[in-house]
Amino acid sequence: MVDQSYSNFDLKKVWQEMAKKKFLNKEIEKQEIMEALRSNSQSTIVNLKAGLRTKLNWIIGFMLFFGATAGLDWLKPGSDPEHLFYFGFAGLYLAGFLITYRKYQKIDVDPIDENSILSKLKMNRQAIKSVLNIERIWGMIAMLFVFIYKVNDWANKTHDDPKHLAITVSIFLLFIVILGFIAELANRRRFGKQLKKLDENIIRLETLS
Amino acid sequence: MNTKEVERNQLDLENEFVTLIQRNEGIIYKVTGLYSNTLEEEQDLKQEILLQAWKSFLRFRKDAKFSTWLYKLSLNVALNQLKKQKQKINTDYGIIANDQMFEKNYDDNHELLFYLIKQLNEVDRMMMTLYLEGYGNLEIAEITGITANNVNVKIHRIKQNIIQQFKKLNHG
Repeated sequence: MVDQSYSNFDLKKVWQEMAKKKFLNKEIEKQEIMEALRSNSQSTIVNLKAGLRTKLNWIIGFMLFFGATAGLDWLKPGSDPEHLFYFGFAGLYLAGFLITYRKYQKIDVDPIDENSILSKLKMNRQAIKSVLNIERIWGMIAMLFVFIYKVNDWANKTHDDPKHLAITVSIFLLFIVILGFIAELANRRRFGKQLKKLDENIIRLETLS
Repeated sequence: MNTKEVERNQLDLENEFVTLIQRNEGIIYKVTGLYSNTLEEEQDLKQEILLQAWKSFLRFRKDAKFSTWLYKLSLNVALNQLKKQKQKINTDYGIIANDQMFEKNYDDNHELLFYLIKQLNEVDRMMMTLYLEGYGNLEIAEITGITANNVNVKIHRIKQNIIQQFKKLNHG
Protein backbone atom coordinates (compact mmCIF):
# COMPACT_ATOMS: atom_id res chain seq x y z
CA MET A 1 0.00 0.00 0.00
CA VAL A 2 1.08 3.57 -0.57
CA ASP A 3 1.97 5.94 2.20
CA GLN A 4 -0.81 7.67 4.08
CA SER A 5 0.81 11.04 4.64
CA TYR A 6 1.14 13.60 1.84
CA SER A 7 2.19 16.67 3.75
CA ASN A 8 5.63 17.72 2.51
CA PHE A 9 5.55 14.90 0.03
CA ASP A 10 8.98 14.92 -1.55
CA LEU A 11 8.74 13.50 -5.03
CA LYS A 12 12.45 13.97 -5.68
CA LYS A 13 13.33 11.88 -2.66
CA VAL A 14 10.91 9.13 -3.69
CA TRP A 15 12.39 9.23 -7.19
CA GLN A 16 15.96 8.93 -5.97
CA GLU A 17 15.04 6.02 -3.72
CA MET A 18 13.20 4.41 -6.60
CA ALA A 19 16.22 4.78 -8.89
CA LYS A 20 18.55 3.24 -6.32
CA LYS A 21 16.23 0.35 -5.72
CA LYS A 22 15.12 -0.28 -9.27
CA PHE A 23 18.46 0.01 -11.02
CA LEU A 24 20.86 -1.10 -8.31
CA ASN A 25 21.52 -4.49 -9.81
CA LYS A 26 21.61 -3.34 -13.39
CA GLU A 27 24.95 -2.81 -15.04
CA ILE A 28 25.96 -2.00 -18.57
CA GLU A 29 28.80 -4.31 -19.45
CA LYS A 30 31.68 -3.03 -21.53
CA GLN A 31 31.00 -5.77 -24.04
CA GLU A 32 27.45 -4.54 -24.49
CA ILE A 33 28.63 -1.01 -25.24
CA MET A 34 31.27 -2.17 -27.68
CA GLU A 35 28.75 -4.29 -29.54
CA ALA A 36 26.47 -1.30 -29.94
CA LEU A 37 29.34 0.74 -31.36
CA ARG A 38 30.40 -1.85 -33.87
CA SER A 39 26.87 -2.69 -34.88
CA ASN A 40 26.70 0.73 -36.55
CA SER A 41 29.46 0.07 -39.06
CA GLN A 42 28.35 -3.50 -39.34
CA SER A 43 24.76 -2.66 -40.25
CA THR A 44 25.96 -0.12 -42.85
CA ILE A 45 28.04 -2.77 -44.58
CA VAL A 46 25.22 -5.31 -44.37
CA ASN A 47 22.84 -2.77 -45.99
CA LEU A 48 25.32 -1.97 -48.73
CA LYS A 49 25.87 -5.61 -49.46
CA ALA A 50 22.11 -6.17 -49.63
CA GLY A 51 21.92 -3.32 -52.16
CA LEU A 52 24.54 -4.99 -54.32
CA ARG A 53 22.67 -8.27 -54.07
CA THR A 54 19.60 -6.53 -55.55
CA LYS A 55 21.80 -5.16 -58.31
CA LEU A 56 23.07 -8.66 -59.06
CA ASN A 57 19.51 -9.97 -59.24
CA TRP A 58 18.66 -7.31 -61.82
CA ILE A 59 21.71 -8.22 -63.86
CA ILE A 60 20.66 -11.89 -63.81
CA GLY A 61 17.15 -10.85 -64.85
CA PHE A 62 18.39 -8.82 -67.84
CA MET A 63 20.84 -11.53 -68.80
CA LEU A 64 18.03 -14.10 -68.92
CA PHE A 65 15.74 -11.72 -70.77
CA PHE A 66 18.26 -10.94 -73.53
CA GLY A 67 19.41 -14.55 -73.66
CA ALA A 68 15.82 -15.80 -74.11
CA THR A 69 15.04 -13.08 -76.70
CA ALA A 70 18.16 -14.00 -78.65
CA GLY A 71 17.29 -17.71 -78.50
CA LEU A 72 13.73 -17.14 -79.70
CA ASP A 73 14.90 -14.82 -82.48
CA TRP A 74 17.50 -17.33 -83.56
CA LEU A 75 14.96 -20.16 -83.75
CA LYS A 76 12.50 -18.02 -85.76
CA PRO A 77 12.65 -19.14 -89.43
CA GLY A 78 13.93 -16.52 -91.86
CA SER A 79 14.90 -14.05 -89.18
CA ASP A 80 17.56 -11.38 -89.65
CA PRO A 81 20.76 -11.57 -87.61
CA GLU A 82 19.23 -9.45 -84.83
CA HIS A 83 19.72 -12.32 -82.40
CA LEU A 84 23.45 -11.68 -82.55
CA PHE A 85 22.82 -8.31 -81.00
CA TYR A 86 20.75 -9.87 -78.21
CA PHE A 87 23.34 -12.58 -77.65
CA GLY A 88 25.97 -9.89 -77.43
CA PHE A 89 23.91 -8.01 -74.90
CA ALA A 90 23.30 -11.15 -72.83
CA GLY A 91 27.06 -11.75 -72.97
CA LEU A 92 27.71 -8.24 -71.73
CA TYR A 93 25.36 -8.81 -68.80
CA LEU A 94 27.10 -12.11 -68.06
CA ALA A 95 30.47 -10.33 -67.97
CA GLY A 96 28.96 -7.61 -65.77
CA PHE A 97 27.56 -10.24 -63.45
CA LEU A 98 30.85 -12.12 -63.09
CA ILE A 99 32.85 -8.98 -62.33
CA THR A 100 30.26 -7.64 -59.88
CA TYR A 101 29.88 -11.00 -58.18
CA ARG A 102 33.61 -11.27 -57.54
CA LYS A 103 33.59 -7.87 -55.83
CA TYR A 104 30.39 -8.68 -54.00
CA GLN A 105 31.98 -11.76 -52.49
CA LYS A 106 34.87 -9.68 -51.20
CA ILE A 107 32.62 -7.59 -48.98
CA ASP A 108 33.02 -8.95 -45.50
CA VAL A 109 29.98 -8.79 -43.23
CA ASP A 110 31.48 -10.88 -40.44
CA PRO A 111 31.49 -9.14 -37.07
CA ILE A 112 34.24 -6.54 -36.87
CA ASP A 113 36.64 -7.12 -34.02
CA GLU A 114 38.18 -4.22 -32.20
CA ASN A 115 41.65 -4.71 -33.66
CA SER A 116 40.74 -4.33 -37.30
CA ILE A 117 37.94 -1.79 -37.47
CA LEU A 118 39.62 0.78 -39.69
CA SER A 119 41.26 -1.56 -42.17
CA LYS A 120 38.12 -3.62 -42.55
CA LEU A 121 35.93 -0.57 -43.08
CA LYS A 122 38.33 0.74 -45.73
CA MET A 123 38.46 -2.60 -47.50
CA ASN A 124 34.68 -2.85 -47.65
CA ARG A 125 34.30 0.75 -48.81
CA GLN A 126 36.80 0.10 -51.57
CA ALA A 127 34.96 -3.03 -52.70
CA ILE A 128 31.59 -1.28 -52.81
CA LYS A 129 32.90 1.79 -54.62
CA SER A 130 34.69 -0.31 -57.17
CA VAL A 131 31.47 -2.21 -57.93
CA LEU A 132 29.75 1.10 -58.63
CA ASN A 133 32.66 2.25 -60.83
CA ILE A 134 32.66 -1.03 -62.74
CA GLU A 135 28.96 -0.55 -63.31
CA ARG A 136 29.58 2.89 -64.81
CA ILE A 137 32.26 1.57 -67.16
CA TRP A 138 30.13 -1.41 -68.04
CA GLY A 139 27.20 0.92 -68.81
CA MET A 140 29.41 2.88 -71.23
CA ILE A 141 30.53 -0.29 -73.01
CA ALA A 142 26.95 -1.54 -73.27
CA MET A 143 25.80 1.76 -74.70
CA LEU A 144 28.67 1.81 -77.18
CA PHE A 145 27.66 -1.68 -78.23
CA VAL A 146 24.08 -0.58 -78.85
CA PHE A 147 25.37 2.49 -80.69
CA ILE A 148 27.50 0.45 -83.08
CA TYR A 149 24.61 -1.88 -83.69
CA LYS A 150 22.26 1.00 -84.49
CA VAL A 151 24.71 2.66 -86.89
CA ASN A 152 25.28 -0.66 -88.57
CA ASP A 153 21.56 -1.19 -88.79
CA TRP A 154 21.18 2.22 -90.43
CA ALA A 155 23.98 1.49 -92.90
CA ASN A 156 22.17 -1.66 -93.97
CA LYS A 157 18.67 -0.27 -94.15
CA THR A 158 18.51 3.49 -94.62
CA HIS A 159 21.88 4.48 -96.06
CA ASP A 160 20.21 6.79 -98.52
CA ASP A 161 19.02 9.11 -95.75
CA PRO A 162 21.85 10.65 -93.68
CA LYS A 163 19.33 12.92 -91.94
CA HIS A 164 17.72 9.85 -90.45
CA LEU A 165 21.05 8.75 -89.04
CA ALA A 166 21.65 12.18 -87.50
CA ILE A 167 18.26 12.07 -85.80
CA THR A 168 18.75 8.50 -84.60
CA VAL A 169 22.19 9.29 -83.19
CA SER A 170 20.95 12.45 -81.47
CA ILE A 171 18.02 10.66 -79.88
CA PHE A 172 20.31 7.84 -78.87
CA LEU A 173 22.85 10.17 -77.28
CA LEU A 174 20.08 11.91 -75.36
CA PHE A 175 18.81 8.51 -74.30
CA ILE A 176 22.30 7.61 -73.00
CA VAL A 177 22.56 10.84 -71.00
CA ILE A 178 19.12 10.31 -69.45
CA LEU A 179 19.83 6.67 -68.66
CA GLY A 180 23.18 7.56 -67.12
CA PHE A 181 21.55 10.23 -65.01
CA ILE A 182 18.80 7.87 -63.81
CA ALA A 183 21.34 5.15 -62.96
CA GLU A 184 23.50 7.63 -61.02
CA LEU A 185 20.45 8.93 -59.17
CA ALA A 186 19.30 5.41 -58.30
CA ASN A 187 22.77 4.50 -57.05
CA ARG A 188 22.99 7.63 -54.96
CA ARG A 189 19.61 6.94 -53.48
CA ARG A 190 20.36 3.33 -52.71
CA PHE A 191 24.02 3.58 -51.73
CA GLY A 192 24.81 7.28 -51.23
CA LYS A 193 23.64 7.64 -47.65
CA GLN A 194 25.19 4.37 -46.55
CA LEU A 195 28.49 5.13 -48.25
CA LYS A 196 28.51 8.56 -46.64
CA LYS A 197 27.97 6.92 -43.25
CA LEU A 198 30.85 4.58 -43.94
CA ASP A 199 33.02 7.49 -45.08
CA GLU A 200 32.16 9.40 -41.92
CA ASN A 201 33.12 6.46 -39.73
CA ILE A 202 36.44 6.13 -41.52
CA ILE A 203 37.19 9.86 -41.43
CA ARG A 204 36.29 9.97 -37.74
CA LEU A 205 38.74 7.20 -36.96
CA GLU A 206 41.43 8.82 -39.09
CA THR A 207 40.99 12.29 -37.64
CA LEU A 208 41.75 10.88 -34.23
CA SER A 209 45.33 10.64 -35.32
CA MET B 1 50.22 8.07 -38.01
CA ASN B 2 49.85 4.46 -39.09
CA THR B 3 46.76 2.26 -38.93
CA LYS B 4 47.83 0.58 -35.69
CA GLU B 5 48.25 3.91 -33.93
CA VAL B 6 44.89 5.11 -35.20
CA GLU B 7 43.30 1.93 -33.93
CA ARG B 8 45.02 2.40 -30.55
CA ASN B 9 43.63 5.94 -30.35
CA GLN B 10 40.27 4.57 -31.26
CA LEU B 11 40.53 2.13 -28.37
CA ASP B 12 41.49 4.93 -25.95
CA LEU B 13 38.45 6.89 -27.02
CA GLU B 14 36.26 3.83 -26.66
CA ASN B 15 37.60 3.20 -23.17
CA GLU B 16 36.91 6.79 -22.15
CA PHE B 17 33.43 6.51 -23.55
CA VAL B 18 32.77 3.19 -21.81
CA THR B 19 33.95 4.59 -18.47
CA LEU B 20 31.70 7.65 -18.76
CA ILE B 21 28.73 5.54 -19.81
CA GLN B 22 29.22 3.12 -16.94
CA ARG B 23 29.42 6.01 -14.50
CA ASN B 24 26.16 7.40 -15.82
CA GLU B 25 24.36 4.20 -16.73
CA GLY B 26 21.47 5.05 -14.37
CA ILE B 27 20.40 7.76 -16.82
CA ILE B 28 20.09 5.24 -19.63
CA TYR B 29 18.15 2.81 -17.48
CA LYS B 30 15.75 5.49 -16.30
CA VAL B 31 15.06 6.71 -19.83
CA THR B 32 14.73 3.23 -21.32
CA GLY B 33 12.47 2.18 -18.44
CA LEU B 34 10.25 5.23 -18.86
CA TYR B 35 9.99 5.12 -22.63
CA SER B 36 9.58 1.39 -23.27
CA ASN B 37 6.75 -1.00 -22.68
CA THR B 38 8.48 -4.31 -23.14
CA LEU B 39 11.90 -5.74 -22.32
CA GLU B 40 12.64 -6.00 -26.01
CA GLU B 41 11.82 -2.33 -26.58
CA GLU B 42 13.95 -1.44 -23.59
CA GLN B 43 16.89 -3.37 -24.99
CA ASP B 44 16.50 -1.81 -28.45
CA LEU B 45 16.29 1.67 -27.00
CA LYS B 46 19.35 1.09 -24.86
CA GLN B 47 21.26 -0.08 -27.91
CA GLU B 48 20.15 2.94 -29.92
CA ILE B 49 21.09 5.36 -27.12
CA LEU B 50 24.55 3.82 -26.83
CA LEU B 51 25.02 4.00 -30.56
CA GLN B 52 23.89 7.60 -30.90
CA ALA B 53 25.94 8.58 -27.86
CA TRP B 54 29.00 7.04 -29.43
CA LYS B 55 28.36 8.71 -32.77
CA SER B 56 28.04 12.10 -31.09
CA PHE B 57 30.78 11.56 -28.55
CA LEU B 58 33.43 13.42 -30.54
CA ARG B 59 31.20 16.47 -30.62
CA PHE B 60 30.72 16.34 -26.87
CA ARG B 61 32.39 19.38 -25.34
CA LYS B 62 34.61 18.34 -22.47
CA ASP B 63 33.65 21.44 -20.49
CA ALA B 64 30.01 20.35 -20.49
CA LYS B 65 28.59 17.96 -17.96
CA PHE B 66 28.51 14.45 -19.39
CA SER B 67 25.37 13.50 -17.46
CA THR B 68 23.41 16.47 -18.83
CA TRP B 69 24.61 15.75 -22.33
CA LEU B 70 23.69 12.08 -21.98
CA TYR B 71 20.26 12.92 -20.56
CA LYS B 72 19.52 15.25 -23.44
CA LEU B 73 20.69 12.73 -25.99
CA SER B 74 18.91 9.77 -24.39
CA LEU B 75 15.61 11.62 -24.19
CA ASN B 76 15.87 12.76 -27.79
CA VAL B 77 16.64 9.24 -28.95
CA ALA B 78 13.70 7.93 -26.94
CA LEU B 79 11.35 10.51 -28.45
CA ASN B 80 12.57 9.78 -31.96
CA GLN B 81 12.16 6.08 -31.36
CA LEU B 82 8.60 6.67 -30.25
CA LYS B 83 7.89 8.74 -33.34
CA LYS B 84 9.25 5.94 -35.48
CA GLN B 85 7.06 3.40 -33.77
CA LYS B 86 4.16 5.79 -34.41
CA GLN B 87 2.95 5.21 -30.94
CA LYS B 88 -0.10 7.11 -29.97
CA ILE B 89 0.94 10.25 -28.17
CA ASN B 90 -1.12 10.96 -25.18
CA THR B 91 -1.81 14.67 -25.39
CA ASP B 92 -3.78 14.64 -22.20
CA TYR B 93 -2.14 17.02 -19.80
CA GLY B 94 -2.71 15.12 -16.64
CA ILE B 95 -2.92 11.59 -15.45
CA ILE B 96 -6.11 9.67 -15.05
CA ALA B 97 -6.19 7.03 -12.40
CA ASN B 98 -7.85 4.22 -14.27
CA ASP B 99 -9.07 0.78 -13.33
CA GLN B 100 -5.85 -0.81 -14.53
CA MET B 101 -3.90 1.24 -12.02
CA PHE B 102 -6.17 0.18 -9.17
CA GLU B 103 -5.79 -3.41 -10.18
CA LYS B 104 -2.03 -3.20 -9.95
CA ASN B 105 -0.56 -3.92 -6.60
CA TYR B 106 1.97 -1.23 -5.77
CA ASP B 107 3.83 -2.26 -2.69
CA ASP B 108 5.46 1.13 -2.23
CA ASN B 109 5.60 4.72 -3.43
CA HIS B 110 8.61 4.06 -5.62
CA GLU B 111 6.91 1.75 -8.08
CA LEU B 112 3.82 3.91 -8.09
CA LEU B 113 5.77 7.07 -8.87
CA PHE B 114 7.58 5.35 -11.71
CA TYR B 115 4.26 4.15 -13.08
CA LEU B 116 2.63 7.56 -12.81
CA ILE B 117 5.54 9.28 -14.57
CA LYS B 118 5.32 6.70 -17.31
CA GLN B 119 1.67 7.62 -17.86
CA LEU B 120 2.55 11.22 -18.75
CA ASN B 121 2.77 12.29 -22.35
CA GLU B 122 6.29 12.14 -23.82
CA VAL B 123 7.26 15.76 -23.29
CA ASP B 124 5.82 15.99 -19.77
CA ARG B 125 7.57 12.74 -18.94
CA MET B 126 10.81 14.25 -20.14
CA MET B 127 10.36 17.44 -18.09
CA MET B 128 9.33 15.59 -14.96
CA THR B 129 12.23 13.15 -15.19
CA LEU B 130 14.68 16.02 -15.45
CA TYR B 131 13.02 17.83 -12.56
CA LEU B 132 13.16 14.73 -10.38
CA GLU B 133 16.81 14.30 -11.32
CA GLY B 134 17.46 17.72 -9.84
CA TYR B 135 17.79 19.84 -12.99
CA GLY B 136 16.77 23.47 -12.73
CA ASN B 137 14.09 25.11 -14.84
CA LEU B 138 16.63 26.77 -17.12
CA GLU B 139 18.42 23.51 -17.84
CA ILE B 140 15.12 21.72 -18.44
CA ALA B 141 14.07 24.54 -20.75
CA GLU B 142 17.32 24.21 -22.67
CA ILE B 143 16.98 20.46 -23.03
CA THR B 144 13.29 20.36 -23.92
CA GLY B 145 13.12 23.57 -25.94
CA ILE B 146 10.24 24.88 -23.81
CA THR B 147 10.50 28.29 -22.13
CA ALA B 148 11.61 28.30 -18.50
CA ASN B 149 8.34 29.90 -17.39
CA ASN B 150 6.35 27.26 -19.14
CA VAL B 151 8.51 24.57 -17.59
CA ASN B 152 7.84 26.02 -14.17
CA VAL B 153 4.08 26.10 -14.67
CA LYS B 154 3.91 22.67 -16.24
CA ILE B 155 6.05 20.99 -13.60
CA HIS B 156 4.00 22.54 -10.83
CA ARG B 157 0.80 21.23 -12.38
CA ILE B 158 2.22 17.78 -13.03
CA LYS B 159 3.50 17.57 -9.45
CA GLN B 160 0.09 18.49 -8.09
CA ASN B 161 -1.50 15.97 -10.35
CA ILE B 162 0.85 13.19 -9.26
CA ILE B 163 0.29 13.91 -5.60
CA GLN B 164 -3.46 13.89 -6.26
CA GLN B 165 -3.10 10.48 -7.85
CA PHE B 166 -1.15 9.22 -4.88
CA LYS B 167 -3.97 10.35 -2.62
CA LYS B 168 -6.64 8.99 -4.91
CA LEU B 169 -5.03 5.61 -5.23
CA ASN B 170 -4.44 5.40 -1.54
CA HIS B 171 -7.90 6.44 -0.39
CA GLY B 172 -9.81 4.86 -3.21
